[in-house]
Amino acid sequence: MTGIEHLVATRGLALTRFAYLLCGDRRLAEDLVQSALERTFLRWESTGSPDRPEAYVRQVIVREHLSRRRRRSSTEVVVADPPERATADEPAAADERDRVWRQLTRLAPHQRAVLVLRYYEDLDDAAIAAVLGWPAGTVRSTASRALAVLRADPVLSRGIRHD
Amino acid sequence: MTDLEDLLRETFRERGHDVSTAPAYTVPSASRRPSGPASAVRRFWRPLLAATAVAGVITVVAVAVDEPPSPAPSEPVQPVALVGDVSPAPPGQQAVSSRGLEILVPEDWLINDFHCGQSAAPTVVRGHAVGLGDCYTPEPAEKTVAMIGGADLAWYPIPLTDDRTAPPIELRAVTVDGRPAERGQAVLADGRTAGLLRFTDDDVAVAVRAIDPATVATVLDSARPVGLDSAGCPAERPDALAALAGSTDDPLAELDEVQTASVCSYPLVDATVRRPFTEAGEAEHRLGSSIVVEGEALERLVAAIDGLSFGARPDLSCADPRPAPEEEAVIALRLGDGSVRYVVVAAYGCGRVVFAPTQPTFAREGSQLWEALARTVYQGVTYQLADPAP
Repeated sequence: MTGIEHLVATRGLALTRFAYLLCGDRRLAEDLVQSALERTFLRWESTGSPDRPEAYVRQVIVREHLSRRRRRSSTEVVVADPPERATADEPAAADERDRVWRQLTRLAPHQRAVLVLRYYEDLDDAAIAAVLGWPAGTVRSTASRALAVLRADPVLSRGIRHD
Repeated sequence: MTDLEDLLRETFRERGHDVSTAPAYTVPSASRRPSGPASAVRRFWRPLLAATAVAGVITVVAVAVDEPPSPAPSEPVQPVALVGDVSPAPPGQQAVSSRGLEILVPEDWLINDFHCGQSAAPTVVRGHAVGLGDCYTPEPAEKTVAMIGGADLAWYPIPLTDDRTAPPIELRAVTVDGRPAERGQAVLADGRTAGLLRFTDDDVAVAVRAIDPATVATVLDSARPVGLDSAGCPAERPDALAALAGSTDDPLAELDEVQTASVCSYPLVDATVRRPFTEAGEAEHRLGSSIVVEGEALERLVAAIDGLSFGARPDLSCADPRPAPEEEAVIALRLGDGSVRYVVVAAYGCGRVVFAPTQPTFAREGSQLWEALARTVYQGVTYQLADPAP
């Protein structure tokens, strides 16, 4: 099994989940991962394995996603249809999470990307900056603005603790 | 009560599990045939199995590459992204930023209707207009003004004809998006309420004065630090010329497809604060003003750029050289397909030069371009290079 085969075999699902959280669409997520794997394979072939292959693939996924969104019509909105699920949580808690998921579609792609990297991947701002190729200050301010958009939602704001 | 950040973590963890399987991703493996003039390297594709059972879509891509194949890029090829996306303001409002701070004001407020010749209309003031000197036009007592400037921004109007004695303002410690700041307000002699929000870890403040105290509070409440503002402009001056070096995007080839533009203005002199110009002549590193340009203003701007004549590098020697080059304005031209092209205006000593990345030479900008920028970006007050303070 080659390096990239091993990567996909062991981390393909995680990469797909990551891409899904980024874009909110299952089919687009798979397309992003496929595209990222192809780019990674080309690099693997020409210069050898990247130092941290999975991190490299995630970086490619994020940048490819943001690049594609810039090329789309500004009126296009990605809307995710949350599947029905049973939850053991109180209904209010599940409703809040559903609301957050829907409100994420209001964010600009780069804002959503920062939140996914910070709150799903648990990256610090310096690491996020490295993934996106931004200054760390831009990461901070982008996250701040994204959180402000979510806090401004009248439904969420009732249940969220404000500093 | 729930913390939003915890809620985000929970939401992402939960939604991640909406994806329970991954498709059989495919990547190529190279295989060569005997070479010949017309032979091709054909890539064969091997399916890769994900860790879980295969289900759903299997994506297969076949590529034929003429021999010799092009060298594969060692890094993902990313487009230059000097300016970010435009973030629309809420309905009825406009977002205005300067020096890394953005506020929301009603969309009918004028930009830089301030200083000499100002009207009584409400206005937001930023950029070079903040640092202008005294004027004999008094500020109308009914005028609403919101101003973004440096941390030493005065919160009271000081035209020559005004009483310069201002009531004390008691500042209390606050945080804005986790950043330490001070905020307070007081009543002016003319009955208006004046408010100030000043960051203690940064050189930026916003001052508001209005008849209605609620207006003051609303504008100050809206203040947010930004790294990229709503026009997509970076708060810190980008090294645009270096970033665009080698760019293959020709901004002049698709001017007829420009849908909107963002102009990000970085002043060459410290004109956004009431401080003397530095002896070293350092260019201001922060965003002075920005604007999204559409409609007729966009037509004027595009026509002005289109009207530039590119040629040999002009003679830039003059008696007053400033550090050069420094980007004075980065103009992001957004095309219908979502891509962005850039034109950079920079000042050299006694002139301005326009860079279009793929142009081998430069153009000394004509007055038409600067007039188009002044009318849209600066507004209110005619743009002038500020002279160094004595």
